[in-house]
Amino acid sequence: MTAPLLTLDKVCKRFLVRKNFFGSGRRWLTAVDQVSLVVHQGETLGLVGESGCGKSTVGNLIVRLLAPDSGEIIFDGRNISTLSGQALRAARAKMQIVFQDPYSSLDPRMSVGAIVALPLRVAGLYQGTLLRERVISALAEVGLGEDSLERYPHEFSGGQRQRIALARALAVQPAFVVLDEPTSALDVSVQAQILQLMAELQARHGLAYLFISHNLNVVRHVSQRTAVMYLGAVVETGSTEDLFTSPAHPYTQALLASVPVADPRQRQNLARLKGDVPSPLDLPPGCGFHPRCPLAFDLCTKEAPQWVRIAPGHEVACHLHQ
Amino acid sequence: MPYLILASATKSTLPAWVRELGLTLRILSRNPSAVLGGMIIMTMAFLALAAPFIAPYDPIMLSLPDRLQSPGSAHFFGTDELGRDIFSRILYGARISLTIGLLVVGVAGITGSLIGAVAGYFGGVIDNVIMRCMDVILSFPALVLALSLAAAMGPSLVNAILATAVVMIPKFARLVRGEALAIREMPFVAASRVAGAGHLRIIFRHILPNCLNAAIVLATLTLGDAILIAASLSFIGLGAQPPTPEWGAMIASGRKFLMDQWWYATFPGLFILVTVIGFNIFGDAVRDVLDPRIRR
Amino acid sequence: MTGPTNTILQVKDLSVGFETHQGPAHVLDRVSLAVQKGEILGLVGESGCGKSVLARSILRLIPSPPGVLLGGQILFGDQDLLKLSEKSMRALRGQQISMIFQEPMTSLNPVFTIGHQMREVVRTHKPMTKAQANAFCCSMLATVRLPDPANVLQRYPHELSGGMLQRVMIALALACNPALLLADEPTTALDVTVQGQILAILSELATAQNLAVIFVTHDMGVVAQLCHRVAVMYAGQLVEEALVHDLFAQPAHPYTQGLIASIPGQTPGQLQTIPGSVPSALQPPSGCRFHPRCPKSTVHCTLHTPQLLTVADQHKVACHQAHNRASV
Repeated sequence: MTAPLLTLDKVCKRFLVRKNFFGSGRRWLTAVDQVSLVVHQGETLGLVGESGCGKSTVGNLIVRLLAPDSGEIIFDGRNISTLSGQALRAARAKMQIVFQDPYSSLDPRMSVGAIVALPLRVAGLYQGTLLRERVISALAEVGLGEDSLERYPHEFSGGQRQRIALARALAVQPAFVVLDEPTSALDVSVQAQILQLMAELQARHGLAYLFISHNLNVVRHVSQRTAVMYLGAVVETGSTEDLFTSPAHPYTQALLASVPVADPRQRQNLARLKGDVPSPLDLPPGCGFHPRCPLAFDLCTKEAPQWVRIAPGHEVACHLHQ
Repeated sequence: MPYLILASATKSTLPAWVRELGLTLRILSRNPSAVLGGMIIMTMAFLALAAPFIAPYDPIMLSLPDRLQSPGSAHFFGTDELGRDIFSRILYGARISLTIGLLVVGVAGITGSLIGAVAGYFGGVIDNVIMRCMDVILSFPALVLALSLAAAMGPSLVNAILATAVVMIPKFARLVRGEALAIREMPFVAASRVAGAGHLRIIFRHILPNCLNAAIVLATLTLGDAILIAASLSFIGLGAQPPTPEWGAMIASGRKFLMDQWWYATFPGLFILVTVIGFNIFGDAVRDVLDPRIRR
Repeated sequence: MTGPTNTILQVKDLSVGFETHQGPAHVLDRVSLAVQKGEILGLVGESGCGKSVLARSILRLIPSPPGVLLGGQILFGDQDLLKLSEKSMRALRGQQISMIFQEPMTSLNPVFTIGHQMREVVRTHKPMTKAQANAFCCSMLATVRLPDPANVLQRYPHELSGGMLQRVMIALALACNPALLLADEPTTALDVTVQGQILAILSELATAQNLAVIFVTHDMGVVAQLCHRVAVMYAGQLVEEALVHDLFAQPAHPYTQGLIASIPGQTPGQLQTIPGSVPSALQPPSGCRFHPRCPKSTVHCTLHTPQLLTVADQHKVACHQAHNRASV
């Protein structure tokens, strides 16, 4: 088994939040709590969870838009957790990110050609006609023609803008791309086109993806392995098949049961879980899920659960399995 | 891989900025304030540019026998106490006023925008220090500060322009700082950062171009103010020096003769009034058009 | 089950346009549909298909410039809503026809408590004292299963989560026992576990109060789980209408087929896509609006717009190919 491309080891990130206007009552918001993940070359790891679970923060930490408070991030053999400046730039060269909102992830004042060329310019890899050719070929790979070079983002639809964002990410030929909800803002038919495009690009270039999404159907379709997050912590990881057919954590079970299936013959009870997702400012003691867990017992309110391996490659953090 | 058909295939081959300008002008042409203000501005600009060709007399040549003539067919706006044709002086004065306005707004706009972008982008201590300096400037009434600066630097037109520009800088700084605060949170800035772009590149490539719309609106609205302040400085004697036919200076000279020779001070005053109003209502219309158009 | 006396709302040939800088855009083109008492009608389509415009047009919420009514009727009982005065419409809204929207946070005023706003709405429609209004609001919040209603009434909107706010909006919408509820993507902005709760509440209340619901969404899964009947829209036109089981078992229109096949996990193997993208409302394609993207289009489809015709029991479709198959 070759070494993984990306390893996260007990990464934590907290944000300081001011409770009221005058700055008194400062509280810590735990966005990411002891998260450990592994992504291998050429594979897609799905990261699912609902709002406030910290999955986007994990994505931002990996590309070092944020620095972790503790824990390590090791990419391509190098520990990038505390790097900065030129060293960070060099270590990050093989990593890219695509964001959720196609309308604000492209600078409205730059032409498409300039947008795709910017990472190349920064890296100083190409100049002049070579640069232009590289941009044209990146755009061609995502299905956009040469005439889009001089156009501006507002002339394109949401799906086309995500293609431009993909072209920008791929122009520098990365090994790993963080996809932060890349199709959540798109219509379902457009989403299908973009997912197909991403799969083709992955096969052609041997890319590894971290696919962050709240849409379980999509994650099931694109990832080989999946991790489920709740309130800043990973609660279960495993191969996508294992996770979706035999989910071990009560939250994963409830999450899967809540997804409406597009088949009217299978009428579900969609309201499996009571209550709302609690605020990350007020983490419940013990296991973060216990207030909503239908199977919680006394230990769950006192102690945070440890990781347990219940099958090869399938791990869960839940007292029920210990 | 087959190329996809772009949903909105534009047939035009003009560069994008030309098309954008055309669309803006078309929208503006339906706005009555924009049309009126625009016509005033264009008239003034025309008069300023054409002054050497349409001015009937030399603006600074004396002609004492003709002194203090009332408006008539020979002298449309009458003459001043040295016999100079007021109409010609006003035409040349338009050149001066408009140049002053453009220079002031240019200097203040560029400097203020840079300052504001740096403050908004970096935040923290840098932001605090810069904005407190801006607050110091803002705490003085504009005219008073311009006056003090011009007096300290010595009476001349260039100093009046500089003093007025300093007074206008904080407005641009505040505006661009606010925009920068919003823009730096945008995903496209994050994407550039991940690609390895440094601070300077982000400020010049992302922050400043996206503040352009707001800055243009402020510039249009500030032009009128700039002309007014510069004219006030000249009125006091700290700006344009005689024999320069600047409107404010003309009003100052004409003050003594106001009772019997009303035309001397009135016409320059009227021109200042109309020009400033023109810029103001045009600026209001431009703001209505440019600001809500976040997305097409 | 579907008789003329059971029909709550009937939209006939509704056409709506928008004035834009680049000319008139046809947003709705001769849309006709009907809703029965007690049924949940799903209105599905992707962005730009006009489903939100249709829902808002029923309550006349589209501002008149730039919106333009180009024709049609909306019959509620025996009244044409498009011909009513604004005063009569205001009496109707909230009383007989209610609406809930996608973003509950923007439907509520952030500077007033929930209780204040609910009492205001309730007392506008039914005169009562403050104490009576409080009690009434508490009971309404209990029907939408909000824990501790008295506490909720004292909270401000920003203190509640999206799911709780949406329940408050549902309670408000149903306060006066309307006959019809319009729901414009009410769960799109919510987490999936919360969405499940909201859908369960809506389903229960609709049955309990014999409420007709028009549920606008882009999520076929929600449609399959919640609705009795489905209407599919594309580029401003209604392209298919059927009972939910029939729609998923035998979708007749190629767009519906493509839409269902695009859902990841729906068909085993390769994900199906619909090539191309939604046409601009300013220049819709000639003939059938779907023909540039349709794998089954013929020359006839590019020239003639298909009508919405019945091809099976309660199953209508606007597609030449489907019509041919049905008549064979």
